[in-house]
Amino acid sequence: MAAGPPPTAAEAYRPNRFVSLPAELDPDTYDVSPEKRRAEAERLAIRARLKRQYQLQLNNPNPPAIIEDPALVRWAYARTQNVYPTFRPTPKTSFLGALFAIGPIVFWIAVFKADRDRKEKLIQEGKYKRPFSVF
Amino acid sequence: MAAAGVRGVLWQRAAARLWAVRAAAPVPLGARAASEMSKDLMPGPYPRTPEERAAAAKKYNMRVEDYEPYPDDGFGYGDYPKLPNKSLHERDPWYQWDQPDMRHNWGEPMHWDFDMYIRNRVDTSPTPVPWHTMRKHFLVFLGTMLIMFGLGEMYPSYRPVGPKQYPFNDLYLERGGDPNKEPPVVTHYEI
Repeated sequence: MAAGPPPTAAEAYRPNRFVSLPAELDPDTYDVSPEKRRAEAERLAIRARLKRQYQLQLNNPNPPAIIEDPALVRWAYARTQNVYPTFRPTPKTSFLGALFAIGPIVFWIAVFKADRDRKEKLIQEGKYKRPFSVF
Repeated sequence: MAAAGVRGVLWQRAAARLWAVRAAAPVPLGARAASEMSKDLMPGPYPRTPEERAAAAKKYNMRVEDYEPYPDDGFGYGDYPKLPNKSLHERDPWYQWDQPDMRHNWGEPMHWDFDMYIRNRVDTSPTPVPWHTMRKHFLVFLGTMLIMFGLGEMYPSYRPVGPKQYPFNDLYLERGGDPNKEPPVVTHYEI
């Protein structure tokens, strides 16, 4: 029983967390339904409105000192000042917090203690070869 | 003299007024001094009702159908929209962006990890070879090399060698031997 022709490059391609699907292979690109066209028109309208606002400020004869971008301000605010008010201790966040905050400390305590105990045991038995010894 | 005294008094009065305002205000002064945006234009908590979702979509300049907040896991995302994880490498290089280096338009919602997806950093554009094929080839090569090096360490194989032979009676003088005494004769061969 023949296995059939091998998959073409287009069929073999799979997007994942690190690479995305090219537009040519995405069936959504070839979708010409009216819903999609209305959605695209609405997005274009929003984009055009924002462009107009920006161009008006940019080409103003008395331009403001800084044309601040509200999207940038919101992005910075969300990443810095909006994290603590919206944080909630849940089992998942508590577990991750313990893992990344307390975990490394406990791990390195254990590693250093074990290493020191092993070295102390060797010294007590007289088997420890001193590095950088002056003798 | 009097002018300096008056200036000092004015300064103290201004400081006292500042202290009173600071004590009265619920928010520390200067927390949002650089921005004149009101609280309802800033990101807020996770939207629970459809009206809150519509308001949040309008705030972020998105369509209500496009707006999708991060899941409410308490991680601190709030109502910030979850945009597709695509880097700026994938955006059209020939379109007239308002900010060409960032490939970003004024007012367009920015990805949460915007600073990771800039063109100097992470690139998620599609690869000529599928990623799983590249991973497979790399792991096969790496695995083969590691196994062969491991085998070479466990079962070393080289031409037969003997101990190194030194001239001048096994380097008697160089090793600190007494020049007045006869060095012991060393022969490395048998005939």
